[in-house]
Amino acid sequence: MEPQNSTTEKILAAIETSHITPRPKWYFVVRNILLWIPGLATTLLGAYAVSGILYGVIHAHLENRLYTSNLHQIASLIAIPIIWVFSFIIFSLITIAFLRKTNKGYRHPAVQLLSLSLACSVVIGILFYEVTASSLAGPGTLYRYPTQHQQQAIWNDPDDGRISGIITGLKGSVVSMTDFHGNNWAITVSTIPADEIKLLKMGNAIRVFGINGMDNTFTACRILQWELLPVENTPTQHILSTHPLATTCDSLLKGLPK
Amino acid sequence: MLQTLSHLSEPMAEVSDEALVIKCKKDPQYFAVLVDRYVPKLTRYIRRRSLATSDDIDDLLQNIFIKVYRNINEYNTSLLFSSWIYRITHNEMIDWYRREKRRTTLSLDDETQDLISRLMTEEDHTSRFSNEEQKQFIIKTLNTLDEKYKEILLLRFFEEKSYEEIADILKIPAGTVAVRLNRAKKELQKRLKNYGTTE
Repeated sequence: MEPQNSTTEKILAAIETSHITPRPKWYFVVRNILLWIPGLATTLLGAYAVSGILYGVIHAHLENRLYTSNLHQIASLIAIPIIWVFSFIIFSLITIAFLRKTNKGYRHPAVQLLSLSLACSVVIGILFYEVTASSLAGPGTLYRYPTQHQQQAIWNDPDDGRISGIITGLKGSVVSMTDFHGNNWAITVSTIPADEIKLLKMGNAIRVFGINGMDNTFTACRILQWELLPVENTPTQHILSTHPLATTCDSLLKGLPK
Repeated sequence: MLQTLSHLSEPMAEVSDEALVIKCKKDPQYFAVLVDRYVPKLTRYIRRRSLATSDDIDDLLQNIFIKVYRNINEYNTSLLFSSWIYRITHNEMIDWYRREKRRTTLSLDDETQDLISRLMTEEDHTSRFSNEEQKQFIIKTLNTLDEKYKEILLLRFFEEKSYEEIADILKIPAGTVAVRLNRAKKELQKRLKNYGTTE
């Protein structure tokens, strides 16, 4: 079979003289995979965002907002999930733009792809949260960090009556605690409500609301569980009997929920 | 040598495009058959949608087939080869319009006139648009439409592509093709209604 016309001959000659060769198949396979990566990344980022939002909402301790006066920090805490949502939208748009360049991505409407990605993100995100929420190890630690970091910032303000950390010693009515910045505290716990005594266990992570004293001493008015860290399974050591709230704590807790 | 096709003993007329591409990936000589097969079709397509000169068409065809040859391993049989090569042509035409600062301009030839009759039959305008002058008016009206409408009408009624093929050529979902085609026809109908009152 010979070329039909001169145009065909010219085209073939141009290919021949320019030494044009077909690109290898792997080039297109790799390119196609690379084009799908933003889509997968977006879905995983979405899953991460969903986990983060769940974690943020469940562990934000917004019920304790009355104990804190730093509205900026609270606002930052609430902003984290919103930032995640916005970043998800931006990544989704990038993904759609890339999908148009893939072999078959254009066959599906953008809304369909976005909905599918979102649905996958929600399902994976819930599973991700369920699997990692109770463990410090694994990828869950990544999304814990912003919430935990914000919480630590809020609960590391002795002058405003808030400290937090891990119990390192129990002696009489004084609890030794190392806060998340490595400072050691001697906390008098004789005035806390009876039902909070059970939180005083070696290795337990707690939040303390009370009055700052001299030389890293602190008088606790309320003890709250630091729920962001797992509670060690150490035996409960009751060291206190019930005491009525001290006058100073009374004034401190006036109007706050008990 | 791509030009030497004499060693291809089997008759090529019955071999599908897709089978030819597979052969071409193993033996580049078969590319000459594809070129031979598509030069007339693409020449007609380019001529229909532009006022390109013969030299322009030769240049465009050369660029198109170089791209096809270079990217032949990208083609997979999940879509028709004709859709794939029309897509490359479509993109090359867009680049050419940009370079030349031109718009898609449909032109009239003998075959196009028959296709206009087909389009008009579908739109039930046969009796009103039957003579040469009236068909020229239709082409003129088509050329006033938006690029995206003009392009989709051209592919559907002039190149006689299916919705799926158009979707693959323009890289849009098939649903979007249907919607856009419907809008294009309505827009054309609206403009043609003025025929007789403005002419």
